Amino acid sequence: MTDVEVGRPRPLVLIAEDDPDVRELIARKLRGEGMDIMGVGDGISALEAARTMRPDLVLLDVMMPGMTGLQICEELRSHVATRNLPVVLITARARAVDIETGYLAGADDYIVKPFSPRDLVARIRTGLRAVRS
Amino acid sequence: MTHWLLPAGYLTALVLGVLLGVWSGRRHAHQRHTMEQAAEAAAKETSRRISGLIRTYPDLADAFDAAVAAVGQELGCDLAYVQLVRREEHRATVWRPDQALARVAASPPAAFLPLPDEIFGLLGAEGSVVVEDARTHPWLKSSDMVAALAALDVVSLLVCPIASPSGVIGAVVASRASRRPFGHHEVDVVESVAWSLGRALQNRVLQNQQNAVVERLEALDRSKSDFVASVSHELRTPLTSIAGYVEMLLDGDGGPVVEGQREMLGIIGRNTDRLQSLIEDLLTIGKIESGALWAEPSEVPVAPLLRAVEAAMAPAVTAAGLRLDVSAGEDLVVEGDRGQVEQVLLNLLGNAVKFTPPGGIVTVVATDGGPGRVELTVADTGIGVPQQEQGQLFTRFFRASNATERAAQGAGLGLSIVESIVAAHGGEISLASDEGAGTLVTVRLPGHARVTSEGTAAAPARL
Repeated sequence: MTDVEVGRPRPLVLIAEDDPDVRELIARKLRGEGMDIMGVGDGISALEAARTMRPDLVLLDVMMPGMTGLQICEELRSHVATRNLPVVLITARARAVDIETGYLAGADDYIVKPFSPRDLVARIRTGLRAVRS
Repeated sequence: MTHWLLPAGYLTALVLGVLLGVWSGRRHAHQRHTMEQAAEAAAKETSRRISGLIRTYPDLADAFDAAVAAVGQELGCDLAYVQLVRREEHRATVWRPDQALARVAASPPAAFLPLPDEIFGLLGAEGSVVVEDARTHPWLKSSDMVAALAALDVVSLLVCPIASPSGVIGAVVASRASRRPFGHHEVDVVESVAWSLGRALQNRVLQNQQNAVVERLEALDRSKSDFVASVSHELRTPLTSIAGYVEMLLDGDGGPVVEGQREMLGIIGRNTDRLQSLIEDLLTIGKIESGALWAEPSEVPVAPLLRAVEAAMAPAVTAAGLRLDVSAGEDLVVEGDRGQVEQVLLNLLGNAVKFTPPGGIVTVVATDGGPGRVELTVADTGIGVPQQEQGQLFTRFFRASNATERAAQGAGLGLSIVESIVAAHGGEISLASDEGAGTLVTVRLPGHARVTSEGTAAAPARL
């Protein structure tokens, strides 16, 4: 399972999730898959980290204090430097209209809580591959 | 309380008129009668026109402007205004010939309004006041009023009250700078304008009350929806950690797992799934009760929906050792919410799979259910439902005795949700079952068969 690592350093994934246990769950899983992790717990830090740390992919919880994942996603899409940064939204809202809103905000993928960590890894790999090709 | 003040001039004119009539003879009387009829018709026409004008303005202040300008022009006034008394403050729209309308407010009533509070006290709900010469009228003799009236050139005056159920709340005032009195047709016109304005005010009050009620209900609805959304978030987040770590442990992400541990983790995982589906069901019921479920009716093609449901159920069907047959006319369309119709099918299929022993068959068929209806049936060869319990199946938390005996999981919410969704769509649901032989659930939803290019509805096709 090392195709994302071929010829380049470990990918950096930014996790913006206000629930520390869920954040840690994702971080453990992704570290075990050979990724570097940076975790933040609110919307403002997430936007700042996405701009300064230049991650390879951002996981955004939709409901966060400060800024929602949707707002951050729109903000990232409106700047040249972060326009093509892959964004995966994580949310506890599973209605069709919520998912549509997520894609309209410019998200590349959308995953609903509770999710399978295995499934999350697969989607992150897809996101990382998409930007490389 | 009604006050009719007939000014001396009006009486003189009346007496002179009578004398003139006697002198002129019956031929002239007939002519006068015709003129009187014409004047009355003209007054009615004017009243009708102005009232119609008032109704065209949704904004009350604009209606007042239009009314006062019409009265001023039609009656050849030198000053006309609509005055409203609200507690301590008076508001008025003032019209003068060849001048822009002025909206003014004062507290207490100031010189620009020649009417003191006392006159409002004397105005009855229906009565009007006609004053031929305001300069000599006993009501208007205070030195302040004399000065105000002189400044405004008010001589001949007509005051018609604007009535509301709580009393007089304002007046339409017309005046002239000469002694030419307001005739009774003119009084009729202004009274009708005052009545129209009173009604417009009253309608506005009712409308405001209605708007307030609607706003309160909308806020209540929003808070219910917000509650459902928050609960959904608060419950799903901890489940994410529980289910996620169970999966990681089973995957060996936390190191080797021995067989006993694997079993225990499996039980935690199953119960997490159970808790999750219970949460989903409770959230759905929460949405049903807040009315938030019925948001987006649209035309839902049935065949693709059944294919999606079939795919979603496939793993459970295989695991249970069953066969699932699905068929639907390609042209059938249900009028409703796609997600909810899907949930109806998933819940019914979930039950069929849960209560059918291995080797059984589950069948889903969609057919044209006659005018305005699409019929969906879910049949199984399972354990069925005892006859005496069939009536209670749609009750929340009710579980059939042969279901609990088999220790089958479930909270007894699935069919209650199905029934709520079907009812909200204006559809019907029925259930037939022989214990030990199987169950057939028939759902009829609003819908139709799209006519194919050959002009006939296509027969159901095996999907």
